[in-house]
Amino acid sequence: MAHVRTQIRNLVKSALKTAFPSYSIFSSRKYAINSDELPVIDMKFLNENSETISMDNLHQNTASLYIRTTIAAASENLDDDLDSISVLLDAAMDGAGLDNIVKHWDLVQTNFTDSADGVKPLAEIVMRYDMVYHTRGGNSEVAIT
Amino acid sequence: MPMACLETDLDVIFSSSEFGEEILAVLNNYTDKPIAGIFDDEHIDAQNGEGITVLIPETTFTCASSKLQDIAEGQILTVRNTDYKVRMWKHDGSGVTVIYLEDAC
Repeated sequence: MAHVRTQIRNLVKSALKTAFPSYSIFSSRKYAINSDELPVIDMKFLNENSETISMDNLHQNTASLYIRTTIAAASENLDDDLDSISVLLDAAMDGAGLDNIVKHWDLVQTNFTDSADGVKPLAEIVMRYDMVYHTRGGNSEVAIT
Repeated sequence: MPMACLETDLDVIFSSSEFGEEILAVLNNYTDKPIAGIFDDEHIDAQNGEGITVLIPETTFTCASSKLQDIAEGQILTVRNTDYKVRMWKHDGSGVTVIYLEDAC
């Protein structure tokens, strides 16, 4: 078994590989990437809040998963492309099977950034999903559904 | 504007026999007009927010400003059989212009 967060990332990665077959997809990546490998999707949990919600040591954890899609495209099309990606990505999340692990999840924030420094403009859409899952104290590998 | 003597020096510096090469440029009011200059596509770090850094070529063409009187955004420069669109350009004030290029593919 692995930590519930790892299980979530692996499920999401698998769903996104199906939805975006031509993309490079990473469930954890820190090194820089060359532009000829674009488009790329990477994800990471940036924070998590936990609280005990019952006398039998049931923990409710709310973790924020940030899914970032980076593309290079003609500057006139970039924003339209990002909107299309968000539609596909949200649908893929719906079919990722997260309900087997997560009590509740929701898209809570979307951010956009771009850069026109290189030979092709780059743009990113970052979609933040908050995941609520339950675990028993001392065992963060088994989600209580 | 550069001094006349500097203009002569620039012609030498950007010539294909020195540091430059002949770039086939299609500019307004010109057709297939070759321009001598220096082509560069050094990779830079493009950092967007907190995401992965993307290494991408910053493609530029540097030449004498006097050769670019009709330059405009969207014009095509053909370098080594690859087409690039003119995105923007910077005059350095002493007779040299750096053109920033976008992949036209």
